[in-house]
Amino acid sequence: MSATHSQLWQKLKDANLVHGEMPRFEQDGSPWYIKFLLGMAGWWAAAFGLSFVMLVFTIFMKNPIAVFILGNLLIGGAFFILRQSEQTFLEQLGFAISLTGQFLVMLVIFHALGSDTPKFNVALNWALAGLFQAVLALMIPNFVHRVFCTWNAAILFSVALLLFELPYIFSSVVMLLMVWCWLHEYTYAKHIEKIRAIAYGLTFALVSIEGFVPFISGGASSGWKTPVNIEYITQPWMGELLLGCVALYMVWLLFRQYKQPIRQPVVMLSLFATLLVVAASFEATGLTVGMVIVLLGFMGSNRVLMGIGIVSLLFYVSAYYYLLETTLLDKSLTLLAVGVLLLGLRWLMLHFISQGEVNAR
Amino acid sequence: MNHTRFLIASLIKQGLIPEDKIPDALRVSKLTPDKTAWFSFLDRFLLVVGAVLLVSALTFFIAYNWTEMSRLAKFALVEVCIVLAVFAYWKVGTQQLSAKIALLTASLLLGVLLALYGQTYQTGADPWQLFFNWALLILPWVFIAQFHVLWMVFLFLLNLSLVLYINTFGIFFVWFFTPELLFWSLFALNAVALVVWEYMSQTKEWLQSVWATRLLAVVSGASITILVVNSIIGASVYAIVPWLIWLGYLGVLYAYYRLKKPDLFMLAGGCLSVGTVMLFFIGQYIIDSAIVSLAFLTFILVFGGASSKWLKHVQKEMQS
Repeated sequence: MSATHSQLWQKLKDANLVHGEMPRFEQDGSPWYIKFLLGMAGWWAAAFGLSFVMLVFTIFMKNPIAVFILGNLLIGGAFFILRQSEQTFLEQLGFAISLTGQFLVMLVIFHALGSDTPKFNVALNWALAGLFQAVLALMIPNFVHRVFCTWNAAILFSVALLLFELPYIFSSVVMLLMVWCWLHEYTYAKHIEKIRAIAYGLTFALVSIEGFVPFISGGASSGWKTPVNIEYITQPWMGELLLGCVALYMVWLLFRQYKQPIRQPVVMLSLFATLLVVAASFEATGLTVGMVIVLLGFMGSNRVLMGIGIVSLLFYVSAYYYLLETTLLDKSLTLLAVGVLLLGLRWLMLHFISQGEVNAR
Repeated sequence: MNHTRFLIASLIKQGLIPEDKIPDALRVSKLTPDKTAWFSFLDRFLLVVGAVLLVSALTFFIAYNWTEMSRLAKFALVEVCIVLAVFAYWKVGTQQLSAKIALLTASLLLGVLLALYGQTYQTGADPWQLFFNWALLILPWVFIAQFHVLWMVFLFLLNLSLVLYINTFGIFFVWFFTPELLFWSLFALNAVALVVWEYMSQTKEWLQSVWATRLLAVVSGASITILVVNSIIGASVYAIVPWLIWLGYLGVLYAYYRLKKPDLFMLAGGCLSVGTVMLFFIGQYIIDSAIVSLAFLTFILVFGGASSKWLKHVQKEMQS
């Protein structure tokens, strides 16, 4: 056993959290870039697998029922492979087979749509596809697969809500789920890997939705200044408001994890500071999301998550330049306000909470 | 820290840590940051994000007022900001992180100033000259700051000037012209940068940045891989040259990052490069489309599985 294992076990033993001899630790999970490689390889394999299936079974490909049955058979086969084996090769095989099956099923779901299909039915199909992906995310026992299906499910539901004329608000739902998953990553012993995978999927989905929805929704920005779109019940500012509420909820949950009651001055001040930051960044799509992801990453000592948050923040600031509904002057003032606010909060923190006070508490 | 995350998860899954003691276990193992860690993190986070947003605000402001502002006002605005940033670097104390961020800000603003100069006076300079001159002008600051982020900005500017130069002229020297010149140049620049960086980081602690060396490896590795793939598709007379250099690159990558300074990311990148090249190699020699699909599928599964197994074996060795 490595020194790290022994040191950790001894620390836990000294704190009376564990007892007895150090157990055998499971083999470490792969780092994120290996999982990424596996995911990419699975993707390519599925593309070629589908191509082979379609070429060989050309006659059956014209019958939607046959395609649907074949797709589900492939997914079922993948489920059994992934459930029973932890070998890398079989993991990849299962992933590739599942992707191929999923593509066939999705093909059938969207096959029935035509140019004269009512919008409500189109929206229902997208929601059905999202539900299908969500079920797969919960059921298929593979990390990369869960991330992929969760990501897909969130995107599909987001499109469905757009077609149901309820856009802009789904990102707050995704963020709420993401925050809950990351802050309860270790709470349920049997579901740690599942929760972690779903959390990653939701994170990628949130970054995607928040990054692209303002551009595809007729160029609508967020914030108070965006013109009201009478086609939709929900407006962009509602989405940002809900995201702000989720950010406040996250801060409250963070303090709860440290057993700090809400009436503590530091909690109240932190919530107030969060409210100020959320309000200041109301007009700038994505800033709240990026900062929340970075904070969640730090909370869980998760460098990958922090990296995703940092990259997303840089992306949102760059993308903000191209949003057309607000002038560059307004965007400049918004960024200035948020920047000054953050530096001001830092100054207050350094001056009123000295290092000594932090150590003493 | 990722390893600790995995170990704690392993203990929880085995039921060795009672559910009500999980928060304490996370605290003891420092997975849950303590107050000192939060203080330190928030200090840096608020500083960095605040600085980035201020620079962005200035950029947006200049873009908005572009047509209305007088020349003098434009230049004065940017130059005052540069002076303030340099002053902040000196005042805060040159070894502090905030000082280095201030110098980074000054370096970025210098680029804004050069763009402004080029736009205002219509010098007729090519875009590559802007970025190349920017890189040259910030070089003294890059040396002084001893900040790995600033070095990466410098290298990014060199890469960008190289790409723009080749796109403009297409030739480096009169006697050396190939269609793949862009990728050869990127490979050479970033491979040399990676070697020098790794060598210098052995004595200079501030250069020990994992993400920087990995980024350099990604750019140089991707460039040489594209060159090899191109030689497969194009089947040119000089096809053997990229292969030889690619094999040499992989050999050095393996020797250094497997034996001397183990880094799983680099080895995974090497596997990806080999897999990509072999995929294109196979595709060149199979004609039937159904067999191609099956062959590719089989290759990806076999090679991907073998690579993954080897990388996990290396990971296990690194952790023991």
